[in-house]
Amino acid sequence: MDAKAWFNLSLFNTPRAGEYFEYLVQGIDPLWSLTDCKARVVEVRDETHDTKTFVLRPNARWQGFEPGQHLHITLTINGVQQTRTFTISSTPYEWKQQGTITLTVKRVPDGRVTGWMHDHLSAGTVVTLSQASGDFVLPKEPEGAIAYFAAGSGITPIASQLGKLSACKMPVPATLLYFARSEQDYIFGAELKALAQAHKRFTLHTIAADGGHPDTHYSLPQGMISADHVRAALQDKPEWVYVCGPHPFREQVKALLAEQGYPLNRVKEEAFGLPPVARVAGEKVTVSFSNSHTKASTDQPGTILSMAEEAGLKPTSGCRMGICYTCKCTKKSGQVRNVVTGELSSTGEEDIRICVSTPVSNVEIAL
Amino acid sequence: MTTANRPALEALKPAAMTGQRKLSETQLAELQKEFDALRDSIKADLGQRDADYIQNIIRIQRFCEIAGRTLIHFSFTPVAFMLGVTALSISKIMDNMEIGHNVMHGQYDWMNDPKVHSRNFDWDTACDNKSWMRTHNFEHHTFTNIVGKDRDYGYAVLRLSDDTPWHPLRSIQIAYFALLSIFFQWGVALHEMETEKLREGTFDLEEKKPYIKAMLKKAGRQVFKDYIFFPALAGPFFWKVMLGNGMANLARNLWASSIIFCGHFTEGAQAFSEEECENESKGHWYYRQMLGSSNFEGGRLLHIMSGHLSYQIEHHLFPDIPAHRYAEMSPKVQEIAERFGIPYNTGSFAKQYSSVVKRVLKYSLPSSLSSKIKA
Repeated sequence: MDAKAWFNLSLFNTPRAGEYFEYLVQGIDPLWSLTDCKARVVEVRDETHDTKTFVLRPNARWQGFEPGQHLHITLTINGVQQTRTFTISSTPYEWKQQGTITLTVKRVPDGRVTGWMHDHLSAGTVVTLSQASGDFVLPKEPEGAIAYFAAGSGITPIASQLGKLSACKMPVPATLLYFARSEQDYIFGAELKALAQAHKRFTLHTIAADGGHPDTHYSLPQGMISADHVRAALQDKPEWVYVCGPHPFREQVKALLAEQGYPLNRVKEEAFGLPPVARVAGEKVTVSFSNSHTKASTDQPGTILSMAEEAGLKPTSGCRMGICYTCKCTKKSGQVRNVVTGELSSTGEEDIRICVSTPVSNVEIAL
Repeated sequence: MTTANRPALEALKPAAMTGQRKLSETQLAELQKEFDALRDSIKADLGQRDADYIQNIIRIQRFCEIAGRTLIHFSFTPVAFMLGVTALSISKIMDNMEIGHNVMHGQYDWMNDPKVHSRNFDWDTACDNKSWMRTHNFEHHTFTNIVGKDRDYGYAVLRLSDDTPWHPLRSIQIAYFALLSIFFQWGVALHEMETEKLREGTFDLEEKKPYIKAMLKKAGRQVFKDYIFFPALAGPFFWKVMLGNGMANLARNLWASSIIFCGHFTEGAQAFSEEECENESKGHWYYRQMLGSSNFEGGRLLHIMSGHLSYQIEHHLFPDIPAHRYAEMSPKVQEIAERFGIPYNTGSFAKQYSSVVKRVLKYSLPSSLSSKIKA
């Protein structure tokens, strides 16, 4: 422990002095904070039947972003803090000129948080943001062509990148293949069409899973993704391919790219959600939550976070996808597998993120 | 509960009232259902109101602490000094009782806010938070009033029932009681040391080392804050600030110990043997919590300053429900208690506290004598 943390612990019983004063500062103005970035919602716009854009004005603690990056937003929903991760859909120019950023959020069926945002998050509300992070960004000096694969709400980071390219007068050719369920589901559909008309070097293909509009002529076949789509995207011999969408979609795109001989180390992808945890029936494992004197046994373990919650515990959690470290706990013993990377842990004592860890042996967690 | 069940329960009432403290297993299962349902209904209702409540309480505590330390530091008159001591005492009491004790019970874990989560919270007292969670949340709340297992029952220095053998040193236990009250935060900090094991010869230093290390670290930080740092900040007024901080700590010690003694050491609070509680059902656990705990009555301010431990019975039935909810749960708990013929031990603070003192005095005498006293 460093001297500052010790000093703060002595005086304030918390390693961060700001936390001690936070309640007083927040009592004066919810936009003021000594510990977090706060932002006020200034506008809410409808995009499609199930998607809304929230315009936020962050306070001075927020440090800006690169197009394509994401952030965590923490909302207080009936007294409970809920954190979710969204990519920023606006461009850095809006941020510089108006001090605003936008998050474009699709309502997840039965989603606790996205549903609440659609129904209750309105202008005036103050929310907590993390700094932006992520390496799903444009190269510093783009040299070759860029190909984009987007599915559904996976368009949001790409829209931000296209906004930046457009502002730089499209320095390199760009092709976007945008997959959605139907014509009604294209987020930013009109804006993207306008962009394609304004810039000769930007090509837009929309591919609707339901076959699209019968009277419209499409340059690419509608329906599911196929080798034709990938070949069209590779026509300009792109320097980089960007893929954003659900896990199965990204896997499919990568497999098709590999088939066409495209090097996968030139593919950048943005993860949306956890890959499904392979629940293989096997030997029974027991997770002991030693501080709570509780145990959970199963032969089909999910993540340790979900097991703890099923056992009635309330550990702190944030993004639930291994990014924010809110759920970090000390594993006393046993081995876990990271469900995102597949990596196996050591068997000794170490800190793990329980939201992306599944037990492979009996595990003891200090929780 | 439906009224259809009433006649069956009425039949059992006389037995319970004659002091045979036994409910049948069926009755205990019924009791468990009632309390579980009450707990679930409140759990489902937790929300913004509870989050706002604890945040407001923390805000008031922070304000009192800053005001208190500032007044102590800058006071040139005894009145201002005493105002400062009072504000700092209130801050320490709120921090320990309504905030620390309750947050560390996990009452606000559902808020998913790291600042008020039991895993992270630390409080303004000498006791290390993790040690507290082991000895209080686990030992005391699981084994409540089981003689030999609940070390909070008499804190290993007080004899409160005939289940504990008498010893000549017990005859002056009222002095231990006074000392424990004065130095309460240190008693709590040293609780996990289990010094009684020294007497029994089963003390294992090796096993205690991690605890001792954590305890010394925490105690050291507290001493640094109240007796070195803030006094030193005042320069020539070093001793004044040290005295003020010491007085605030003393006030908190006396207050906290009195509240806590009223929770389990009152006249009517019952003790249990280990055999009685072997393999007990959840229903029996509820039953034991009710018989082993006692409430006291008062206004809203008294409840807040006691961390709602004035509702000790409700707290022991539902230790992880936000404490400010106990007031609204209490009528239902009393109604259930009455229906099952379980005593609900309550009274004024003065009445409960004097019964504690009487009990400490009574059991300082050997059983042969104490049984003749009608305390």
